[in-house]
Amino acid sequence: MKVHVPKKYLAESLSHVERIIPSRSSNPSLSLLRLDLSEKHLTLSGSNLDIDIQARLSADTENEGSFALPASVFSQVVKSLPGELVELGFSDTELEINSGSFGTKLQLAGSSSVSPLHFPESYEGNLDAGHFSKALAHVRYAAAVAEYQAIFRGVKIEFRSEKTRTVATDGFRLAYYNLPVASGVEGDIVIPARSVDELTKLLSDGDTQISLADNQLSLKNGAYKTNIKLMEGNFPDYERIIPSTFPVSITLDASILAEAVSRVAVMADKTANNRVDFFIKEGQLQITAEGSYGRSQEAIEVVQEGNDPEIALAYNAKYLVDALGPVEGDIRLSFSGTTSPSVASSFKDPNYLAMVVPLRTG
Amino acid sequence: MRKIIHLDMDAFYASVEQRDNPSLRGLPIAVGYNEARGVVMTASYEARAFGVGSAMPSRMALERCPQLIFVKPRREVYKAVSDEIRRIFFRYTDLVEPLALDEAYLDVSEPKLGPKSATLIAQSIKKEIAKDLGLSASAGVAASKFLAKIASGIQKPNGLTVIKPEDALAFIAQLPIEKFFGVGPKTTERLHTLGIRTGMDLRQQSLESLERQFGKNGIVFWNMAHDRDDRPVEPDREYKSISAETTFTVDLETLDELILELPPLAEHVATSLGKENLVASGVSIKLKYSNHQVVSRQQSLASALCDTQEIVLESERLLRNRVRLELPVRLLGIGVFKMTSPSEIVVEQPSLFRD
Repeated sequence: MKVHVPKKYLAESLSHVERIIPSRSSNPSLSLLRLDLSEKHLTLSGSNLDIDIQARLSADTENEGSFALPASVFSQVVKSLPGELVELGFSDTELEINSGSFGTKLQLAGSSSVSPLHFPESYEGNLDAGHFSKALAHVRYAAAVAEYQAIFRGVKIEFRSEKTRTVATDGFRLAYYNLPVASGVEGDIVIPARSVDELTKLLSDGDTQISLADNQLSLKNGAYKTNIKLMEGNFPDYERIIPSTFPVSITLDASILAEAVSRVAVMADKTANNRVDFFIKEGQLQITAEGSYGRSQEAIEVVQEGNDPEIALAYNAKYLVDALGPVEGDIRLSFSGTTSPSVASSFKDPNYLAMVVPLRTG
Repeated sequence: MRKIIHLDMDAFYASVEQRDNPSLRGLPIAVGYNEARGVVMTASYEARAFGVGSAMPSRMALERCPQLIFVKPRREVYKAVSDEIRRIFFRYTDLVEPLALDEAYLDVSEPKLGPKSATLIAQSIKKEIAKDLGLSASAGVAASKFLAKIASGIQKPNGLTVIKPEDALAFIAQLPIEKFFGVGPKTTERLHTLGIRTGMDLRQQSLESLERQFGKNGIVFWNMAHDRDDRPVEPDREYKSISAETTFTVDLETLDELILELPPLAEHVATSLGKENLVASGVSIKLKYSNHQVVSRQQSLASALCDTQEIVLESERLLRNRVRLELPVRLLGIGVFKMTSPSEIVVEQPSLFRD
């Protein structure tokens, strides 16, 4: 049976699915891509056990059939095809790929070697895909890369009756983003930050439909369906540690601050948590860093508010720059004290909040 | 004649916790971690009534006092309180030699403030600590560090004991030898077998015989016994090393047995480091074989440490990799060196979720 699909669409769908499929695995069937033919459609699907992705393409087929093949080889072939149209010819043992003047025959693995993935029949909720993706992308940086507490490598999503919130923390800094809309599903879940990376690439325009089950979050957006395995464990009770009183706060342009911190932090001592010092007084923020190579400083005019005339504290420069990353325009930095969390919030987008604990400098 | 005060805070960590948390007052509490390898850092006086003491394994403490409440140490708070206490000391003299966060020698021979009486100064320091910080201290006043330190321990808590110069020799004469500076359980035993039980017994020994038996320490004992302790109060004294050692009642023969002995020693060392707010970049171990031959090994570390588990880990590594046991071991010690204040080398990133 033969199927024709435009190379562009095949390559794009394939890239989303192939990316999550492990190229090598102790379970060889995991590294296979599954192709399903059904009336007018070709679907591609794959899994790495944490996330399942399925992509559906329109195709000129009346046949039905399921096939499996090594994902990475197929992907390499498809990416490099010369023509605009791809012809896929399926037999029991081989996939013949023709495009332009190029042709290849790829061994099939036999569809019985991969079990089909199960996506929900129906979805109870929905959110704007672009907004949801933004909410995830805003907080992703705060999740831990490698932390002994596994839960810190996840992003929490709070589906509540009145709003949806994403939260991430590595135990030292935290970010959350509020979507002031209800999704129609309710529940607090934590999903792996790596699955979030895939999601933000996958989600595009329109609605994303949402279904929440005991152990997985399922989404459908356009031609893509995904199941994301939930993480187990207790996400820390972060709301109680968000400070409410701020003796000093400053307002300034986020990108000016981020650039100044990055510039000054070149001199920061990498072995001392990338320390940069802040001194705020009389509407001026002085940023300094000192390390074995020398000392840098920069002064910025800020709008200063609060009951205390001045404050001096130190931060890990990376944490600050990360926290400022998603902010456009003005940022307000509020200091609750020299050893308690500082809060960053965006004027333009009040849904975003970031917290960073200053360094203890002894 | 010098005038020295030894000031020792009463159950310091526990008292700070009870001061800051009224619901803990009047209750047996232990500052430390209630974990398998945890050790009591300080016990409140209520807990001490049950026989709970410093450096006691948490499990043993709970056996003695099942209602014991464990409170997690807050080192920054103790350090801050200690700084306040030292500020009070400095009103009276610049010659302050801190021994730990909760303990210091003060030379008040020429005080900056107040009467020239060390006893009155000790009284007003105690009063100021009580008034300003809500804590009690015990003080010893004498003409030497040795006697001042013993004096502060005579009436605790909230005591003030003065050993006048003219009474010093008589006081030393009746003093049990285990109270002497540098006399541990093993030395006590050896002195006892020689029939030396009190300061008077010690005084009757010749310097030569003590030196022969106990080496350099023998000379120290002899000097102490004759009230000759000229050690000055040293404000800038730096800690070169901190160590802890233990002598076994039965000599240990295997590496595994020795490794089991490491945690309490490491806890001692970690506690001392914590009290001084120091971190160390070197670890050493010391073994004494049954024939009294001493073997020691040391290792500099890439990163500084201050934590019990880390010290256990590094000393275990030294034991496993650098020692070949030749004879049964009678003594095991752990030490740390290359010490610095953490602020000099590391800047700590505190956690958001401190409990």
